[in-house]
Amino acid sequence: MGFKAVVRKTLIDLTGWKRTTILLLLGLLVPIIIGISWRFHLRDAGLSPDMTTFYILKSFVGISFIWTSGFFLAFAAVTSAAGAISKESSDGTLLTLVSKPIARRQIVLGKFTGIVIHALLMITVIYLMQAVILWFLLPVEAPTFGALLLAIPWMILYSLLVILVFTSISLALSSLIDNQVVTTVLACGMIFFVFLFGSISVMFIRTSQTYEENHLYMIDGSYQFGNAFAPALEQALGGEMLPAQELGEIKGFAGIFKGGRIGEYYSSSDYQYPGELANYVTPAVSVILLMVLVAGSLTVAVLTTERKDVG
Amino acid sequence: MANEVMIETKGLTKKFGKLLAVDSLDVKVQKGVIHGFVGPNGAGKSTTIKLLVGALRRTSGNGFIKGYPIGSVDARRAIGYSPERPSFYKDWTAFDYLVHMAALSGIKTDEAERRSQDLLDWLELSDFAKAKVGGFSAGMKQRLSIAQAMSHKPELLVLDEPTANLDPEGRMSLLQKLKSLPQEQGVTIFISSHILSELEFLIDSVTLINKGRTVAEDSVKVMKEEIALNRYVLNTSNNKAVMKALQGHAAIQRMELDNDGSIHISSPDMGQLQSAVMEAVTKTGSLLKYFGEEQVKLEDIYRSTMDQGKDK
Ligand SMILES: Nc1ncnc2c1ncn2[C@@H]1O[C@H](COP(=O)(O)OP(=O)(O)OP(=O)(O)O)[C@@H](O)[C@H]1O
Ligand SMILES: [Mg+2]
Repeated sequence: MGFKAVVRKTLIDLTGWKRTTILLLLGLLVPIIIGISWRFHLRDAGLSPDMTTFYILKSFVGISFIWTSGFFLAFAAVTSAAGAISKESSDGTLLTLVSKPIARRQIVLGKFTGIVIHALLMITVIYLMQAVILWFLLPVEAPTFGALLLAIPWMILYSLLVILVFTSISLALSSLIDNQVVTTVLACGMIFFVFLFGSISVMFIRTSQTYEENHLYMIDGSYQFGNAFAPALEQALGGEMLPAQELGEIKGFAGIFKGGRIGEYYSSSDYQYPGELANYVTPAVSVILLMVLVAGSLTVAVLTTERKDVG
Repeated sequence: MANEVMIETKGLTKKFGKLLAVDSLDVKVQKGVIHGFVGPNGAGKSTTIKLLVGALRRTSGNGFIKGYPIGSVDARRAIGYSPERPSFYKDWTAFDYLVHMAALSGIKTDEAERRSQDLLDWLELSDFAKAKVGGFSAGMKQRLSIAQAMSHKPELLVLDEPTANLDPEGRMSLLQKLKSLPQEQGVTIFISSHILSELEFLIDSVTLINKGRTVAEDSVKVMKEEIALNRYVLNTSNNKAVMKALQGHAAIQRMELDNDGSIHISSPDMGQLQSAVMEAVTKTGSLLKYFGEEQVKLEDIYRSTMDQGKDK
């Protein structure tokens, strides 16, 4: 009962018109700008209808991975969760809250649930709007639009993983630090660490051998997310994994292809992606690892809140 | 119902780092009474209250609400708490806020709505039910905080200086409302203040606290009797001369002149004191205006016990 009240309040707080407008604009801005560039590309390329569909679809999935369900969604989750406990704590409203006959655990989990539901609804709306905008923006035929719509559930499924990870970590930070600004800055820093760890680490590591032999992929958030994304990508593209060369922007970020972003390949002038999946671990392992991270973060958030001196 | 214990703490202690804010505090409050919790600034009242409502974790000792350990959900179900400086969700209306607070406590929506409206009416806030709390005056916020505390029909109201931000009129009106609660709804009230006199007409029993320790605890009646014992007031036409004549007499323990021109005397022996006073009055040729037992106000108890606390 009390749990439902916490979820409800969290949803109300997150759906203010200001915040909603900013998030929708931010979420749609990048896909729209890039969509315009596709428009020019498609006009000049003169592709067959099939090729056009394929081009749009893979670009759509690529931008979804990097931006919509990547940086943007992580940012939305982090800014929702970072203040969840710390703001109530510094505002003093937590004092009354914890005196009510509801377990503190329920307060934390209620907020978590509210943030996850909100982020899922938001990302669904954004994907649908994005598809419609592309429909108007591009020379999209009905079959292409259909393929886009069919890809959306897979993107949303992957989004859930991103939401769970970033919400739970931010919630843990929020329970540990009573300052919303500090929490938000730390959590945003974490987004960059997770997504860019791979891309940045290659500057120092230089060789794929070092990366592989030291099992650095295990702590490479971008790899784990990319690996977890691979099945969704496959489904979204119609059940077939593409050769790496076809995948555009994703391959560098995800690092799921052998040497996908390791310096040695970039540095040779005539480099070619081997195009072979690295398969360090299976996607299921990546999903499990990320879920363990979620469970761990939630445990920290719950225990910290339960032991907290409020007031 | 009679003699059932609502609050009981045993050696309750809270440290903030090295600071001992609450020092093995023993408090016992019976069901159905209004109990004052009084002490100077920094005495540890708010800290004790936050321990009772489960917001702070105790360093050592125990505490029970209706027999449930403090901090447990069962203990909190019995408690409605209004903090010293209540905070609200500024963008929420008073009504929505109250319904939310009731829902948090597990009250069903329709009942929560009914109860919220009743509480707003009772605390004279119904005109502002749909107004955002951010615009409320300090007094309105204080009353809303009490409404919030009562939203799940708790058996025990724990109010931390509920009158602090109110003007004298608002203060009286609120205290009058609270006074009726034990009889009408069987509610027990634990109310803190650093101004004892304003609670005098309200409370049945009181705990005096200073530096984290209980200085005195009893029913107000017993406390008044104890303090009044062996204390007398004397007023004559020539107080100075009479005091001089009484100085050093075996029947006099302590003697002082107050600002209103009365002599306050402590004496172990009423009979001896009486003859000494008569003798002094006659000798100095003064007129006896008044001589009798001291009428004690709570404020006097407070002062005398706090003085004792200082000596320690
Ligand atoms: N969260 C805290 N951290 C550190 N010290 C604290 C904390 N809360 C209270 N204290 C200290 O504990 C002591 C008791 O404070 P408390 O607020 O309980 O007093 P009080 O009796 O309520 O006083 P007042 O009448 O001013 O409200 C004070 O010395 C105060 O500075
Ligand atoms: Mg206080």
